[in-house]
Amino acid sequence: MGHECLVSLEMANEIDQSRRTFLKTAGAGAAVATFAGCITDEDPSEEEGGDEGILNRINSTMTSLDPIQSTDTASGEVINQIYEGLTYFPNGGAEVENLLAEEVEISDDLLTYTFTLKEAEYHDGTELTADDFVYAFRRLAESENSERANFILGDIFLAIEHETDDDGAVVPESIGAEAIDDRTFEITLRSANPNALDLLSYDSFSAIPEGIVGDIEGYDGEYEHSEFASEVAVGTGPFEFDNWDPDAEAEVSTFDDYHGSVANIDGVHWQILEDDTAHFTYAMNRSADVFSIPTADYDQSLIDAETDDEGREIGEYGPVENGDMLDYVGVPQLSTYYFAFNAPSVPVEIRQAIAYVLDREELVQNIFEGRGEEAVTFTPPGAFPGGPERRDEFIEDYPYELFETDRDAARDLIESAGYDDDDPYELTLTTYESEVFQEAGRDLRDKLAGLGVDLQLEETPFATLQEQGENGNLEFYSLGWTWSWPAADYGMFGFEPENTNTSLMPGDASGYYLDWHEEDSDASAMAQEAWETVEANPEPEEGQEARNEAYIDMEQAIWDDAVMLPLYHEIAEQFNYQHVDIEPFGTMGDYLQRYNNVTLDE
Amino acid sequence: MSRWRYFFRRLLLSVPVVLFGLTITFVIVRMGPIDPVAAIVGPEGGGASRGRIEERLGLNEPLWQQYIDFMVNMLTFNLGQSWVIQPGRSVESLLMTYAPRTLWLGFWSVLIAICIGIPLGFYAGLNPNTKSDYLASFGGIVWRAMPNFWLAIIILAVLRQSERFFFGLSWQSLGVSNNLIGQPPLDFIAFTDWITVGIISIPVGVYFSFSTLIESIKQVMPAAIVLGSAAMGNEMRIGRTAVLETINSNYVETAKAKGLRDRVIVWKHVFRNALVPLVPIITNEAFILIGGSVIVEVIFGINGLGYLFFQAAVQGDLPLVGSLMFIFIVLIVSINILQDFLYTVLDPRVGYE
Amino acid sequence: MSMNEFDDKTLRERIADNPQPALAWLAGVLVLVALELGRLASGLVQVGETTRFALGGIASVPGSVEESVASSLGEIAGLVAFGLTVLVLLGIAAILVKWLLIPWTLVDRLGIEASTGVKDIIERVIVTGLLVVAAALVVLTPVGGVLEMAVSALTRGVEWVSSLPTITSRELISNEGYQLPDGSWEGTFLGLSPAVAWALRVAVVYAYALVWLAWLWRGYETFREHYREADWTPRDDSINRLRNHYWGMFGLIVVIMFLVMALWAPAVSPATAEANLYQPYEHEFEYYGDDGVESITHGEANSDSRSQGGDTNVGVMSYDNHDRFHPFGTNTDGKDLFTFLAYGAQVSLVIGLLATVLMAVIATALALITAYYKGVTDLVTIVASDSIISLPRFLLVLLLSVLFMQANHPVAEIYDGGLLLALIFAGTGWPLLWRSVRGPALQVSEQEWIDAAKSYGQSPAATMRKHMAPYIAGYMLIYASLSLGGVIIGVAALSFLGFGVQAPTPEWGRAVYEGQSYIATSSWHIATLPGILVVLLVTGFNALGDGIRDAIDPQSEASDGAAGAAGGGG
Repeated sequence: MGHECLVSLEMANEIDQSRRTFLKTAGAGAAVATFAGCITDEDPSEEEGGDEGILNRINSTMTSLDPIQSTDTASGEVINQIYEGLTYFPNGGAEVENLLAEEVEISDDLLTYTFTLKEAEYHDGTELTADDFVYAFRRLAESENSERANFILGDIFLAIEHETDDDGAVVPESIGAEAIDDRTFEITLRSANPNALDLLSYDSFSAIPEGIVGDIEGYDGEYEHSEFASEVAVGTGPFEFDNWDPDAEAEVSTFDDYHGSVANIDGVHWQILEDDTAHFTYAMNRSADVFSIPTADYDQSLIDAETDDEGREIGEYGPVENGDMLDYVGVPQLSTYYFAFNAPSVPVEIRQAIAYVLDREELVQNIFEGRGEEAVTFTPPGAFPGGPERRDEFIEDYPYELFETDRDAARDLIESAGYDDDDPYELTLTTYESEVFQEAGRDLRDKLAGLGVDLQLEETPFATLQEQGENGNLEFYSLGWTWSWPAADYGMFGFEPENTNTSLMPGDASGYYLDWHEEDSDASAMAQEAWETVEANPEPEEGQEARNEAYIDMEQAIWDDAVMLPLYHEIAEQFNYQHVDIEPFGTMGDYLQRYNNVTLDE
Repeated sequence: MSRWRYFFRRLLLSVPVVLFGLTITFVIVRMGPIDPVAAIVGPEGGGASRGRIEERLGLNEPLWQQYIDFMVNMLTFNLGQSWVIQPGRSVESLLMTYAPRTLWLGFWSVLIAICIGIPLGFYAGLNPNTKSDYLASFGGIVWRAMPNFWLAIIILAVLRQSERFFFGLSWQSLGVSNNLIGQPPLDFIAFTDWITVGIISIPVGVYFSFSTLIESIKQVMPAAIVLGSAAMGNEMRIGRTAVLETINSNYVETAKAKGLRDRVIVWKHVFRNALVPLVPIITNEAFILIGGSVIVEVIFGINGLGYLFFQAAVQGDLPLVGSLMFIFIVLIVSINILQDFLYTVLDPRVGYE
Repeated sequence: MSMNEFDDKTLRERIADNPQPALAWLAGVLVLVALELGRLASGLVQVGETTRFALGGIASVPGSVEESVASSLGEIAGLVAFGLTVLVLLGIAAILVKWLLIPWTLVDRLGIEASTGVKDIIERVIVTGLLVVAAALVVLTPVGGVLEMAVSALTRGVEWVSSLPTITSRELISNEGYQLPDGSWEGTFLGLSPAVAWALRVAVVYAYALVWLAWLWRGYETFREHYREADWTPRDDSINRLRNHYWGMFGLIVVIMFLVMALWAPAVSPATAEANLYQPYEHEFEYYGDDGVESITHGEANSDSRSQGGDTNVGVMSYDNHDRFHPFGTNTDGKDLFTFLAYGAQVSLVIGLLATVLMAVIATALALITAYYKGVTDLVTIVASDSIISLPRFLLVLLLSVLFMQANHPVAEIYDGGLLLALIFAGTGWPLLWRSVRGPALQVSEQEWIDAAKSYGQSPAATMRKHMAPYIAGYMLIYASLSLGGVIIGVAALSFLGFGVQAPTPEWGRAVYEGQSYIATSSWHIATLPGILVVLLVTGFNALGDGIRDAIDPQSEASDGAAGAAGGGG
């Protein structure tokens, strides 16, 4: 398959070029980003036949194939092969590009986006039209099956123009999405959003054939919703849906009339495995081509990789259990995993004492085998206001012993709060079901034992954790936050003290479960003030500097009150056998990667 | 009391049993702290989505109303849709997908247990107090004492490195090559053609793949051995005792006195009679399989009913947990009735009490 | 017990007549106690603390009932509820006090005439009344303060005793020390290597336990020879049969081995749980490092001795980088696995025994009641037990633990969830035991002597207790020991799924869970060894059950249904 391989490499360059120019032009008001489709002269399936050309992956449990219903990355990975939106992050990289949009025009008030659509065909042979997008956007906003309506309606999200009735529900056909002609689609926003194009890449905004499901007013639907969510999937993506056997496997095959570069492989097969050991065994059998390695079976010392200009580690890993060498990609993700407190239920001295005993370096190196980057600030370096250098400068002033356990300082603080070993402060740490967090919890418990804090560990499924958080019942808990686009804005709204009021959740407050507004401290006041500064400076360009300063003030306030202890930023890793040629993925995560440029060489 | 009246009474008695079981399930799942809405929405969902989902699922209704709805739906076999695991998918279709895997696993675990446990038990019973009897008995007891979760892990570890343990003989490539983990392929048989006669469809075209069948059996074998381990030990012990008792009974003595050959005695008299007490033991295994399959399925990656139940329970998928429990209850209750009934038919000495 | 009835003399009088053999035996007991006085005392302190904690918990019940009732129905209702709860609790306590402490009947002494049933009730009312007075005295008058002082003085005394050296103490035979560059050991017992010192201590523990057993047996023989009225009782035959039942003896030995391991967990562990498991950063030890003798906390040393496959591994029978000896290696957190498992034996046995005892008590009580009254009582119990049996047990147990653990229910916090598990297993397991003994109980209830007792005017409770219970006690013992294994496996299985006993309390199933990812690596020991222990212990209990069955009733072959169903979950 050497021939196809060459084509795909050339293409990769092209994509890189267009990626660099994209955002610049987007800011100026119009963006044009196109690339020539890679048309191969042979049908790879004819040449290879059988399963040889199938890319084998491992996935975890999927919930739904309906783009507006799925909320997990496992379904997302499959949906991303089948459906396409207006924009996308190629290979999960940091910069957004046009996908089904050929051209974008943004009005001067930054509220109207006019998209010219590509000529594309659905898997069932029908043409893509602007009406399809209107229909898809309406479903996202109006359908009862939509789990992500807030992404299109919410003020901190796309904030599309819409009307609501007395109950607060969206009035049908009231959203600001319109088909100007067959290939021109226009949306109108309520307020300017500098990240609108990034947001539109989210898979819930994907095009689906108009009227395929009847879950919004005005459509009867060709299929039942349950069929659409599990058995029928019609998109414009590079792969057609074949089958999904829940908790067993899923399969897609190459769509030959794809509008972009038609895949070199015959299809993609996902084996669905939840258990780590099962996962690793499957990979070591060479049953999977591209996979991840569970931490238990991972050995940091086997990596031989170099850092590229995007901060990715690219190289080799091995030899592994079966003797093979693997290709390795490690990419720092825009995500932060943290421990956080419900501020009023835990005295500030206790919170600070825990900050003193926490040793992130030990945690990341020992417990997580180096598969993360120590998080000192909530915002990852890649999205830090003012850039990574600013962050390095900022963390030099970390108040609680960076990368060291200081039990004496912690003991003094706990004593000043009136607790000691004989009369300890009882605190429950609730973690969700993750081996790493449990181990981290046990480590923290050991370090606090004897200091006057009796840390109880509790493990709970994600759903329960969230429920308890919204009820303000979590004293001390672990969670993570993933940025859907690389900007500081996306994480910070949750720290506005008034927005952390759990008694208003889930309706009127959407912050982290901190109840920080109840804390009568300078830091809390500073954070509130900083957020008001952010809101007073919404202009995408001119307001940036003021917003950045405010965000840094908020980071400082988080430190001072120790309401949240960021732990690490994830480094996502992908391993593949050497017969696979796959481009390294980027900082938004490998589940966004589409496999039409992958080649297999066996 | 006549047989039929007894049977009727037994049926009548099962009604409160089913109702009570269902109520327990409702109380546990719906009044517990697990929130299905949070499970659906995920970390980035806003309040608006939550309210809407609550309304869709009917969670905004008063609890007693939910209870009545739940009971009525279950009892009319209106099993509803999954909320969390695969939103909107009907429970029936989920059952169609997940149940065959568990049934296939259960079938083999019962079969293996019977094929190994009973012969070993009979052998031990025919040669009482010999070295091989002790070995078999002791082995059976230890085998039974092994926790499934541990046995599963150990077997997996050994098979994965079978080349190291069995002088280069690799389990994975033995016969047909397969994975240690994952679903057994169940598409070795399929009906390709149907003809409809009136309202009945009759399959005429049958697809059958022998190699897939072998692969499927090989795939399910380690898990089935683990799941059947406790049953195997039980059957061995009961089998041994039953043979011992029959051998010492009068009619065998008589047969011996009549000068029948040992082989004939053993085959015609001992085994047939020794099998009777084993019947309830084997039917009882249904309970064990239903409960025990959770761990075996989780570890071996056979995502069947046990795995589905575990996920649904933890995530508060009420219709799914309720339906699964309901089906389990009905299954167990009917097996019980059937077993009691068979017992009264087989052995008239048993009273209808 | 029953033989005392036809004897005029009490045991005390018989010993007074011929004190010599008893005194000799008692002297031996005193020597044995003296050798381990310190440990015994610390055990007492622990039991005392647990009792106090439990009493405190029970004492807080009326208050919480009052609060919840008052919040929904108003304060007066709250007060009434408070009073009622107090009365109910004291009433339950009265039954216990009556059974344990008051061997005569107050009613007879006071000369009250009534039918037996009424007498029983009056009796209980009187005892409850006395308890109310006592409780009021303690709570409302200075008597409470005096009592408090007396208790704390007693506790201090016992605590002082517990600091006395014992022959199995870690200080006497220390396995903590460091190796000098020339290979010799400093700080250990007689300069032995830590491995040998540890093995020696374990040997001493088991030798001591063995001597105790032998001495108890000797005590029984002394009793039989010198003080028992009857020359022979059926029990002698049972005991003889058990002694010659190799399989049963094997079970007994295994169970005793584990009991000793659990009781002497602090002595057989290479490190104490406090230092190694619970507060590792508070306890230091010395090792020989690059700059000579240095001290380090267990916590820091642990982070260097993790067993996580590959090169990060401290395997079976090996030393870590800080000269600590690990007979079973370390776990994924770098903590000593043997210590973890020895204390885990405590947890498993406590939960298993507690659950089984509860189950047996419920099942026995119900079996007696249903066999005595029959009819509707029997039918209701059948429906209840059938309903519970018809729910797949392991799934039900799983659901219940998920529910309670996630609701942060106060019960789930006691013993890190251990009590909760015992209650759940007891609540779901009694129907199986009840079914097993229902037959024997019905048989007894048909006997003539029961009718005789009834017509003689004996109260139902007394009839059940005196004439029916002893008959089914043997069966109960068999089935209970068989189902104990099932509970132990079930608890381990739940912990394996993450819904059992929570960290830091050590539990075998959790060790298997934490080690399962490393089973195919050099750290295979973490998941393998705890599993072997479970198999051994469960086999032991099953064998013991078989032995007891054959000893009590050599003709029977009890069905294994109960234990089989219980064991299948894990």
